[in-house]
Amino acid sequence: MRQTRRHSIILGLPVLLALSAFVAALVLPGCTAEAPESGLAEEDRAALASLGYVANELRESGGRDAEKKVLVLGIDGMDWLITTRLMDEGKLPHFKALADAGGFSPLLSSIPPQSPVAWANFITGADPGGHGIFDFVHRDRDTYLPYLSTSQVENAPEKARVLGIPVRNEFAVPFTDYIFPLAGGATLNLRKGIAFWQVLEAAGVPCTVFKIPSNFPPVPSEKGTTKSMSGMGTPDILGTYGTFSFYTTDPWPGSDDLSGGYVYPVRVEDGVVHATLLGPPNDFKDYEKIEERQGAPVSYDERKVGIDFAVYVDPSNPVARLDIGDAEVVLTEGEFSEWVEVEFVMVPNLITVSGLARFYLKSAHPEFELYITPVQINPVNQVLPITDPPEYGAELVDAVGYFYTQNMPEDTKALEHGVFDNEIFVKQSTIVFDERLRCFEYELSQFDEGLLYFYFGSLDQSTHMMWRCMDVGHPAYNAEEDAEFSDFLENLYVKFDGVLGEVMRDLDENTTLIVLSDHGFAPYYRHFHLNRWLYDEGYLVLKPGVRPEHVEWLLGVDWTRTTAYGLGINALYVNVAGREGQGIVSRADAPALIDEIAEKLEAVRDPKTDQLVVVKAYKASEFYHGPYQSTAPDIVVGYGWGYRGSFKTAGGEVPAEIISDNVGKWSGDHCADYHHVPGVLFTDKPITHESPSLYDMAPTILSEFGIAKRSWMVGRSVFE
Amino acid sequence: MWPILRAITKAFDAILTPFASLHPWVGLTVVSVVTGVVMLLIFGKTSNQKKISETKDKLKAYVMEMWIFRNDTLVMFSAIGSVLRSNVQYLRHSLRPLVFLFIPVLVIMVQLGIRYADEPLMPGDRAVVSVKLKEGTVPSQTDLTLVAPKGVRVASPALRIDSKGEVNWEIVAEQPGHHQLVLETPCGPVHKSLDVGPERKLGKVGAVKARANSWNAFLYPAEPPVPSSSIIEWIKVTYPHRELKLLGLTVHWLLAFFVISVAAGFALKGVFGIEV
Repeated sequence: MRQTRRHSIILGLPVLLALSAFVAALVLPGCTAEAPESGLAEEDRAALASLGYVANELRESGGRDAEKKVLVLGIDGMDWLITTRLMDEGKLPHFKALADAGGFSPLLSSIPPQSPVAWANFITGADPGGHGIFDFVHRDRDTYLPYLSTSQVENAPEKARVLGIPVRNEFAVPFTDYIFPLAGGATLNLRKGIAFWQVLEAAGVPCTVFKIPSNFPPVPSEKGTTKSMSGMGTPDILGTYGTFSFYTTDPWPGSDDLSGGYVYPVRVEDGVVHATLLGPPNDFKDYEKIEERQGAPVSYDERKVGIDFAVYVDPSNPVARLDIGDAEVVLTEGEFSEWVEVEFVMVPNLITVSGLARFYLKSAHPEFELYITPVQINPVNQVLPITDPPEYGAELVDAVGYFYTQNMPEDTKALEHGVFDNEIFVKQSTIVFDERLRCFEYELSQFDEGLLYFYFGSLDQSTHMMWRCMDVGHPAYNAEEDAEFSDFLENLYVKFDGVLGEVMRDLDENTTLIVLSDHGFAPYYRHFHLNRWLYDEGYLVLKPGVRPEHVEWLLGVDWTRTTAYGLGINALYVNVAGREGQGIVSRADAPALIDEIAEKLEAVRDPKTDQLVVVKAYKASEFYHGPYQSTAPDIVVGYGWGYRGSFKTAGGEVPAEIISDNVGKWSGDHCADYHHVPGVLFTDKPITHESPSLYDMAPTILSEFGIAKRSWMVGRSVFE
Repeated sequence: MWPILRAITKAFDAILTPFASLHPWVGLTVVSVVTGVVMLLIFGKTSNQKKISETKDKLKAYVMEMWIFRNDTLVMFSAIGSVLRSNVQYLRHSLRPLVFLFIPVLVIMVQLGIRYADEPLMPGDRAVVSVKLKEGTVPSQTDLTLVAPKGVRVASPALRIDSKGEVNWEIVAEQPGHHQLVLETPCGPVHKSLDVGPERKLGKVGAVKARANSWNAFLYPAEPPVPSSSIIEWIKVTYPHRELKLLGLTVHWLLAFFVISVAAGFALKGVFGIEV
């Protein structure tokens, strides 16, 4: 009946492992690793300590209204201009009704208006100087290499302490290749500052915070009265922001080197495809020992744990059956499967890593093409912490079934690389939306006190990818493929209007409703290659013999002669001596250089359109406040309408041109000047603030519960 | 064989009907305890109680000997040998009752299996219907059609796997009910039951319908077997497995059945005066 596969097990291994586990159980309770640095500034530590007084303050001011509730819907990327137009056209009746009965305003985003930065403004009530997130990507000051700004997974340390004695951090199982770390690694949330729900919790307000960005791993609840699920920043099981797998009998040139996905050539033999789904590397193996024995290095891919699977393809019908683990899934061409639990065996019979995947049979004949989603962290059995408390994951799965757990689940990379077409992307995007809606309906049914914050990301990802379909002037517009999807985004706005209608129907008089977005959108017509501009202007210098087009991650840059460089989407850094690893610009000379570069940037014109490319070059020292200001980029580039810092800039590349057309599927963006891309703010009360900004929302929410604005918050309540 | 299996199944239906609306643990616990008692009585009637009692007494004596003479190596080893010998004797005395116990316990397990191993589909659930053909029948050259009744939708074309002799379909449950799928074959239609619950309460769920007089037909007596003249070996529906939770842990029903019935047997052996 069902095909079964057995993993090879070394003879006698279970006995050895059982013994080892027994020894480990005796030893491990005494093991510790050095605690990871919190990285919190003195101001934040003091602020954390001050939370103890919040409850007292509240009591002194009359206590909190136990009946009071605040519901915040965060709709990432909901654009003020589009929303206003659709409201005027009568297509968003519920948003219109809310605006008429309460308040509606553009909501200023962050500088730069990138989601992790913007949501961190919202979370902390501070600007980036107060939470330390300035871009999707930050740079290591010593090596100039980039890293993701929101979270970091630290490997297990080399040394652990057993009963206070430092020892090598591993326990090798005799006669096998297996090792067990005595102390584990850590997952760090790199956002600093204090989240507003930490203040609410200190005041005794129960909170549920669902998928808010810049909250991975979720801030642990001190009192156990906050439930949270991590959002943007949450990786897939490989530790990436989403890596798909695509199995095809028809690989194309370059398909062996894609960002965001792996393409595996396969063959159909006797109606069957045999392949492997690769998971995370196996950290329970002693690779030094293996390499020594086999006399050859073990590559990173070879370290990954795989799950073999078979796909039986019908001789002529567009259908196949996939057998993976204990699961049998019948896949019809053009349909996504349900979630399937997949188990990566790290140590046979002892340690497995559980993940979730969906499968999509793109084609059965004449070519075989199978797409597998990035493997998600299983909320029931979390390999990395994605909920707090951990049981919250199982509660959600019990209520609504499995769902995408990675940040930004719409597979933009698959669409970008042609693995998806518009239709498949829309199908997948619809699955994401429907899953999120089920979670929302569940949370709404449970919401009887305190705060509920709920995040929807579909509009953001869909607008990034599908803007071109509604913009015939976009360089990436292809009438044949895109015309039929011209109303896709509009329909998505209408769907959100339906969601709002459901919410408003059940709203009681004790609940304050806030609907907001972190930014709006603008077209992304033209790439600005900042590093090429810096190179042409003589600020960025390459080592002799290095051709600009070959530079990646700034490798090949001559740091002894470079004064400025770009990394990230909007960030520009001066190569300051004593701050950067090989800095050459003295701290005294840096301000003048920053002024000079800013002035030149604001004068750059696109030769094709004669438009100014940069609206404003924001100097961090003038716009940021707070303890982390010193880690900011020196200039944040505010791009004009239709322009954006290119992906090549974000990756530290120096391409051939300064400005080029964007013909990619990623066709809408918000990393322009923040004045171009305001978000929206709807409330069921009148808004009195003349120009509300994201950092005003934390004090607003606190004030709804009678809690005063905290010292680190730079805004004020929009109702006062 | 089917008339006997049907009679047994109806008897279990009658026994378990009062528990159908209760938590699955209730019915399983009652059946397990009753099974423990029945096993105990059968053991008492079919075993040589006197010999078992003597052997156990000897075992205790040899263990005591090991303790008392723990400083005398020769006596100690002799006692260990005697313990091992007595153990073998004990197992020999237990063998006969185990033979008598085997059939009733197997029947009970089969009956519990069709009630506790799987649970009905829910509206919206997807499932795979697999059909295994008789050896020598090639799926891609055989005309098979799956017809779904109202409330169930066939969601995929037929998937024919010649190397396995199987044909698969994906179905979607749309409405609750005890449905009958119809498999049109060149030898006439074959029916397969499909349970879609309004809720996942306890009840018979026949995951497999197999050829008459086969082992699978004995293991899955929830519905009549496939006629011997058919080209179908078995038809299977992938129902979700029923999960029994205990203190947050998932416990397999078979393990729970054995633990509770054995515990009940040991707890009540004094009441019935049976030496185990």
